[in-house]
Amino acid sequence: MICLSLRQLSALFFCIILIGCQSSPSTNGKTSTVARGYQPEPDTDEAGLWLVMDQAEKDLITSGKLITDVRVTEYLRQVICRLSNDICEDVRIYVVRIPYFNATMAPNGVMQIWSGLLLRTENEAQLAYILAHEIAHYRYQHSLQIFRQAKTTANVLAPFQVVTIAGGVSYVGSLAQIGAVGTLMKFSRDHEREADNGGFEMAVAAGYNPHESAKVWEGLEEEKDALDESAPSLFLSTHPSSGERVDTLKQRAIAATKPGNGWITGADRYNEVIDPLRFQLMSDELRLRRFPATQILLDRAADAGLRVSEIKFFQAELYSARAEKDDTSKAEAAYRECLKHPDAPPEAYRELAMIYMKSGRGQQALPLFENYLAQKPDAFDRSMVKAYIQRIDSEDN
Amino acid sequence: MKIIWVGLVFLLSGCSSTYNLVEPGQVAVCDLYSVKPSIRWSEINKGDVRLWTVDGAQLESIRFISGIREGVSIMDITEEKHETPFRANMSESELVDAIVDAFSLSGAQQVKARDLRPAQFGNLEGFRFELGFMNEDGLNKEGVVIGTIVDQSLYLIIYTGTKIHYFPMYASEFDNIVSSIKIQKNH
Amino acid sequence: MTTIERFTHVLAVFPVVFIAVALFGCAQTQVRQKADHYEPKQSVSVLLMPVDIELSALTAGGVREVRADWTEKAKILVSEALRNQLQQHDDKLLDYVEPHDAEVLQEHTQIIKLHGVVGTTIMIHSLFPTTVPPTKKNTFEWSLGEDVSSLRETTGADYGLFVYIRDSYATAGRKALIVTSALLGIGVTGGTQAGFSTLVDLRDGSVVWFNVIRKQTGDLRTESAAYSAVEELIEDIPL
Repeated sequence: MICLSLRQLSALFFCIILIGCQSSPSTNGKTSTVARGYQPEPDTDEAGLWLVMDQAEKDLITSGKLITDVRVTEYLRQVICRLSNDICEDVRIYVVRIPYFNATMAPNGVMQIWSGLLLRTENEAQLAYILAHEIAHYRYQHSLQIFRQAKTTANVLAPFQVVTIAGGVSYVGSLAQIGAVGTLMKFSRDHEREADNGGFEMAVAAGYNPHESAKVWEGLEEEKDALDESAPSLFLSTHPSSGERVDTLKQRAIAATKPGNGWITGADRYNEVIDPLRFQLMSDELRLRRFPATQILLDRAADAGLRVSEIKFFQAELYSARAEKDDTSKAEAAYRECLKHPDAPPEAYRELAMIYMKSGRGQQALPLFENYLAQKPDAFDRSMVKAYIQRIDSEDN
Repeated sequence: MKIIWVGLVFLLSGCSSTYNLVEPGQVAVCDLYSVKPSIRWSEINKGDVRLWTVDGAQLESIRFISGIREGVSIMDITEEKHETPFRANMSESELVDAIVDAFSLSGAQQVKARDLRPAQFGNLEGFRFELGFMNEDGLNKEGVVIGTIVDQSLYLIIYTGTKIHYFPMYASEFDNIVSSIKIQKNH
Repeated sequence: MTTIERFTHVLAVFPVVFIAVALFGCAQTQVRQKADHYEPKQSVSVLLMPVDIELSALTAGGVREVRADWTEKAKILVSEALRNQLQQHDDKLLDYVEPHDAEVLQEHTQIIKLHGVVGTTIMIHSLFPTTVPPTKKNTFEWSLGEDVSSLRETTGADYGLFVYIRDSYATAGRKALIVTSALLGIGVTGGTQAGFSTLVDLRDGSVVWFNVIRKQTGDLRTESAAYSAVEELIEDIPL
């Protein structure tokens, strides 16, 4: 009941990674597919897998890591139902507050979407193609195949070891705690091809713009290239590509038949739902201290015409956190840009005030600190800020 | 996992006792200051970090972290690149962020800082904030952090304990220790 | 500083602790401890707390994989054995009932989790004397806090019996666990097991009795192993 700890559950090894690509048992195209209301026979190994996944789901719910915003989960449900009416009723959607890109669907119907993903899809179509890919993995029971194959070999390893072996030890600390069960399964290239095909067909049939299908993968590659080897992409590691993926998707996009009333791209609707989350998502992203990748995201946000004050704020925060040569003056300039906008986040006032205060411009800092307190009366550092104000006041007297 | 394993092996393999006893009375923590505990504490002393406990570090502990210089990661939890390094011009909020991150990296969950405010560190100006978090198994813990920056170096005293029983049990002794901070004359 | 963090972090890494426990066999140390003031009375009521148990598979890489299905099975068997064997004592045994109130359930969950940490600390101290802080030498004073009174309120029980078991088994065909330690070159085969039980006074949360399993008692998914594990766990329990 109460017994399984989060951290130890994260090592639930029914979700097994095979290191070194081993080809999956599925040979000629799709194997058994999962239909609505599917339940495994009791006493089968699949049932055992479900039991484990069900327990993991319970722990996920109590992990404190869920983003429970109903608008977001409902929106995701709508997209999923549009993609696959069949699984619409069986799927349980969880948005998990982890700043890495990931989406998975466990054999028992639990879909996890990590918050890092929501920063990296720009519209509903891009989101749909990724979700469709994962739904295809679920449909073709790829996880079960991996699990079965792993049982017959002695080489079973921790789910999170796929990234430790890829060199990203940093994942272990944060991810091992949050019940990342069933989410770090490394699919084979055969699985990937199947899921690419099946997913693509699903999303096209639902009317989503196929020219958006490759963009998320390209974006992930761009980020991966910007960072060095010690920070591999978790999603790319678990979804290996033979390199043809992007080209294949692009070619298929050209060949696809456009429906009468045009393709759905859904940028507006997507932004409407995700907009209120972005501040928290970007804050989480910045704390990873992967500045080249974060810079790419900021540039993309600017290109997409997202909220300028927020973009400027996080640009400034990036410079502050990076703290390389000249970054302080860059940060100052960016905060000032940010504050030209009436919807600037309250923190921007405080941050610029701190820069002024530290550089002997206390008088300029005063009104900014006051503004911060006025906008955020319950700030966790209000006592500290009041002390700064007093200090500046007394220095002038 | 293997590194941690070796560490435990080392600790338990019966090398000479790792703890020494701290009796009540004035005791030097580092070059900067001394404190005056009013009860006995068991101490592990590693130079720039001293750990005090009565019952065992997993139940409660006071960590004195002293003299962290520019560019060094504050709690040195891991060898990760993305542990925030200390900078002498960091604001208190930035320090809070860095410490919260360090806790998270070390396995603490849902780490939340509360009520950052100025506080005395002996006769020096410093800061204080409270922490709430959970260990890897979801056990609630509480913490208090006191700190100051002197001569471009960071000094912290971090008290943590299980929210049930052990943290409350030594909370007033911790406050007593903080009030007793005596800065050495040459600072 | 790194070393300190590693040491204290290490003490939180339970799986590692248990593997180490089995490896180093133990000098004859005190494994059963009782609070000085505690005297076994006639006929008290004892609340059987839900057994905090986890069974896992030990892989070639030496990593533990928790298995929910194994754990479920073992939990049932151990709980049954506990009940059966405690019948021999002339005490009222009360079963724990999960409260409906989510907040109260959380409180109880926290107490059980605290028991895991307190018990593990006592266990490490019992088995490895060099880890005992000087402030803890020659005293047996541990507590789960006064919040345990909420357990007493709902059931009227005088004492709570808490059991904690972590156990791992070699998966079929796995290679021997290799200890890559600079200090020791011991190879270990087979699984490891560790567990402890405590008796807690529900009036004030004080731990009045503690016992740790030291033998390997086999596969806890089987009735016989569960039975003998419980036998050892509650041996000489002062009830």
